[in-house]
Amino acid sequence: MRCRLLGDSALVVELAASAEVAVVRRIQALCAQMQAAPLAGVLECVPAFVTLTVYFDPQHLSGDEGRARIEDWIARCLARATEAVPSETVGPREVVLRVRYGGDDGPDLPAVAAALGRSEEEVIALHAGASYVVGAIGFSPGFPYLLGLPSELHLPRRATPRPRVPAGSVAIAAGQAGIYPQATPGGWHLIGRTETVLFALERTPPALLAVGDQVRFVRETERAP
Amino acid sequence: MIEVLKAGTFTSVQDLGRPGWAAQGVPPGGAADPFALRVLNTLLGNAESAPGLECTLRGPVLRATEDTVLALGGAAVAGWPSLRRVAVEAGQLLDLSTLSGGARVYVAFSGGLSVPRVLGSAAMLPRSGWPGLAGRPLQAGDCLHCGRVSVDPPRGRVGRAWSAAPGLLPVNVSVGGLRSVRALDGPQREWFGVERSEAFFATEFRVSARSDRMGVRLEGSAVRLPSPRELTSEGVAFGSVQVPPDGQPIVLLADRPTLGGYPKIAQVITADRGIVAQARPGDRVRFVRVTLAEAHAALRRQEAALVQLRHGVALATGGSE
Repeated sequence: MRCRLLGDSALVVELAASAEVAVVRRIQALCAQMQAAPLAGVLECVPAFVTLTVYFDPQHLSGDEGRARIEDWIARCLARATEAVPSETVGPREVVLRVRYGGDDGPDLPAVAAALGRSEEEVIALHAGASYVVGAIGFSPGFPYLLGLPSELHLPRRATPRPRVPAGSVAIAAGQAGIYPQATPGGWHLIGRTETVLFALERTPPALLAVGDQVRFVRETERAP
Repeated sequence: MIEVLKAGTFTSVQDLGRPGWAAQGVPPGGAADPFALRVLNTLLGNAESAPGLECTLRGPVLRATEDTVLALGGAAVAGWPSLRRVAVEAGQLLDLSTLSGGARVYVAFSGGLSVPRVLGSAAMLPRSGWPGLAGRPLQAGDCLHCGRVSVDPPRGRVGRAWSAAPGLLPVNVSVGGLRSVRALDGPQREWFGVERSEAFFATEFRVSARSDRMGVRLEGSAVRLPSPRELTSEGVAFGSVQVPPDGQPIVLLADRPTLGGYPKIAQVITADRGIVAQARPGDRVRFVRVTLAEAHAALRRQEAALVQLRHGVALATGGSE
């Protein structure tokens, strides 16, 4: 574990160098321990792939002494997270998303298939055949970065980002899969679309997915009436 | 009510944002110069987090439909006093169009603005798709409801007693357009090496016109990594100085995304958020390295001044806290 200061009111805890499912699971466990035994003055913790960023009130946790107290707390939480027996019986939450691939819903599918030297059917089969883990939520409210994209589907972002990506767009880029919860600008390749709402203000919590959740995509062939 | 006759360049309802939702990917948002809004609200006896208006570069033209009391602070507005309670009468035109000395002026109203909240905050977040004024800047024709006026309007010379010390806001600290911003080394400082990091702190940057509430974009001699290196996206903060591959740093402000994938060479201290958020296009910015202890000491001084103002306001109104 490494802790680096992010200014005078945040610390970045880094657990590993590269984003893997096992690391995300440890980040998830550390996050759970922090929530179970919060430290006064810590405002929020944001997990992402290999790190957890701890935001604190510098009036409450001041100077090098405050920093040392936070680092002690992190070390204690990490020790408990490591000791905790993984609950194999319960396992992580799995969310299944129905996707309409190609056409207007996935306008980049032909270009993606061409770039990868595969048929559109093969791209769909690879994407829908894999199991994913949410590595981070960010970019926009509720946007999940999904680990587990088959290496056959790895390709860089689009050269020119779109000014507006429709909400629900299922996308791939930079070795990851993602879903756009809102209509926002975006540079990933759009291969399909889901009707599932990923972020809803009336829901508690509003984001459908959280770091560590497992996600599967299921191909939907008929448009729902 | 406050009617919007002309919206100005970019005027939005802001409060202190939505802390606590970052793990859901929700940007914290809120006033780009939060201390300015807190000072004005304190001056009016409001809760520090009461919603007010944030007006950027060219301010709006408003009309009050009822008597109210307001206060302005941040950038200076031609024809208006700063950091002082101002009584406004029904029908009065409020022309806030000409700003100087900073990029943003805040307008706080006694009783705050009564606008719907999203996730506990009235702060406008662009492209969020959120309903009402939480999802878009103000437009001509908008009407804003004020809360109940909770302070007596200033009368005659008594009004003087209601001003805050002009030095309270570090807005006009730019000397000839040069803003000195205190910062700590960022979490990826080592990636750049000692020499390049020293060069960064010695560089005078220029503020780009492409700056917005997401970040202040800087232009100057490029800051580059010795060799290309990819950062796994991680948490960012208000004042994170990110360096994209083109070497032109971006200082993140209120509407930053929650995560960032560019290395952070430096991190602006909390006490200097306003100095960087008030930078106008064309202003020059220079970073000054400080220690964690110095950053926290600067913040303590700033917070103590606000506490002093709160006590002064409470005494003057005869109330108690």
